[in-house]
Amino acid sequence: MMGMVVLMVKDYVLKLFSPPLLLALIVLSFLTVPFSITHAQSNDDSNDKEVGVEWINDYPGEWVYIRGYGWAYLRPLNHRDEDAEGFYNKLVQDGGFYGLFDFNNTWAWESDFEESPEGGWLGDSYIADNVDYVYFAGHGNPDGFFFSTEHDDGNYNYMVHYSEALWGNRDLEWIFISACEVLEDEDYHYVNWKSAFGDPCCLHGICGFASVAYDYSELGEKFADYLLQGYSIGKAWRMATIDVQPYYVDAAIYRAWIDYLDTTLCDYYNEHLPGYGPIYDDPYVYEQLDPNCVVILVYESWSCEGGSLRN
Amino acid sequence: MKKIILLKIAVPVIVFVVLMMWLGPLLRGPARMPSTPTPLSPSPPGNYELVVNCTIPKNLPTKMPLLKIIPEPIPLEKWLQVAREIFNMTGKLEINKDYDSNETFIKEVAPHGGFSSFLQVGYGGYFTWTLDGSPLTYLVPSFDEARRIADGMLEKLREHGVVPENIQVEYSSTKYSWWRNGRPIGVTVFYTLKFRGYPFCQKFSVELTGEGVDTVFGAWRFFEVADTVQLITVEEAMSRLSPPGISGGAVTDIIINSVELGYTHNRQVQEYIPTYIFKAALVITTLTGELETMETVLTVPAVP
Repeated sequence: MMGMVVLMVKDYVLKLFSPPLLLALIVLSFLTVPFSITHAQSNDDSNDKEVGVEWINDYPGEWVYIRGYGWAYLRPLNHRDEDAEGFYNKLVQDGGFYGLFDFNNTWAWESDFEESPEGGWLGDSYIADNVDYVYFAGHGNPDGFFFSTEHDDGNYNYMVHYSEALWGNRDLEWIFISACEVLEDEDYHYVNWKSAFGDPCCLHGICGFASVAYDYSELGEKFADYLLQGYSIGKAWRMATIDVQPYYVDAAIYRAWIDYLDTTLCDYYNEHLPGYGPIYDDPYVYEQLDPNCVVILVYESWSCEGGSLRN
Repeated sequence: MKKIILLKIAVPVIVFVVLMMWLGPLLRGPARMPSTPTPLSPSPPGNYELVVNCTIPKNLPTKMPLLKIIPEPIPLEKWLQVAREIFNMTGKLEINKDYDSNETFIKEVAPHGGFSSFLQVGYGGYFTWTLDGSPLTYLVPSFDEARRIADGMLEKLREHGVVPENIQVEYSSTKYSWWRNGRPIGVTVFYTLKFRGYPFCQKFSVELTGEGVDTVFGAWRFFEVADTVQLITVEEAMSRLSPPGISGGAVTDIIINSVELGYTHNRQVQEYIPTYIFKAALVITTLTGELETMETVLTVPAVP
């Protein structure tokens, strides 16, 4: 409820102020804000078809200083809007999903993806971890993904550093990061994202790229299209990245896998969107049900050579 | 009247002020902390440099034909036969046409303990077949075995008439293409497609895992030869080269390692158009200022 209110506030400010809505908002806010949200275990809500996207084209085009990290040059991009909104619109319009947010440029905030941003910013429990599927399109590198503004007064302003991420302890199942190198495999860099899955493990998986990725517009819609045709999440990401990205780009998926006495009970690569095939409980649930179940995280990457659109 | 003014103006204003006082700190947070250090590289990556690292071919043609793509060269009944006889989709099939993308999806619903297979057919007769949900192992086939299986797949597709007769399909390479935790779990056999010796950017490929064939991309399209068009020069094409956007930095240099004429698919007009194909290395300045090199292929339409 709290997250809904925050979403309403943020979305609302983007539009014209309307007194009746303000009144309703303040009443709702006073009713809900004082209640704290626990993070001890997954808190999935009853709606398993919520989606949100954030994207940035309008990076500042200058060097920004990231505390605890160093300088980064954030160059503007051109097609992050079509990429993210292609995913969002397809799921909402054709898949019957509930679109909870589509924040962009200066309204896409790092704090929306962070567990505990410093300085009073609201964390991911109200935005990214308040939906089931979230898609980010912007700049990335092996250490995280980047925003055009800063909404964290501690270290790693302008970015979601892997150490700041803890997803799925509220509602999120999957995060799709359409940005360069976030799941880089050199020196097993992707293992840094292990803590984002939580302990106990709540997140189902992360889709991204192991290499540089091109700023092309079609990935999100193509990915959603495959999902709605009934492809599993892993396969859909794989097919969409191969279709859209050119030679020499490597895409990747880092996801949970439930091992039961050395056999695979479920591989989240094969999970589908709800209503389009099998879906799985949060990984920690299996461990609670049977001590013989062990959650492991599995990483796969592939070359994008050979698809039908661009290659 | 006063009551109306009070209700319509004063109350919303008061509510807004209270709301902002209360939620403001949450939404805005405290002021930014000052950034004291200065950038290590004060000049940001901006303009790129084009470096030609090869001999430009001198005898390239000045005219080439456009290739007009035939929308639906193969009827659905034929694809259903291909699904059954080549891809073993013998269970219950669901057929779904996506009019936005001009694609038809033929899905075999979970015939083998939860695995589905998909045959996706697109405008001009390109297709993808893939198996979804099979357990993957580290027992990938050898490159020789993969080539043998892929050649057999190509032959079957030819026999069923779903390979355009006016293109040459030439073996290109076999590579590991899919890795789990750093170990290969998939190998792909690639074939180059050509028309009168000119390569297409798209390919035919067969991917295999320890379970057998996993994915087949028949990225060809049926076409008929259309008008011959005048081509721009390679120098002019190079002047039109632009670096691709990168979601993790910026392109600093484009190093051209080879150039040839070929064809690429233009979805807007549904034609194969003559195209200069540049094999290149991109020098990329990453977000944090390091330099990386990435091999790529850049294309520039050869038509004015």
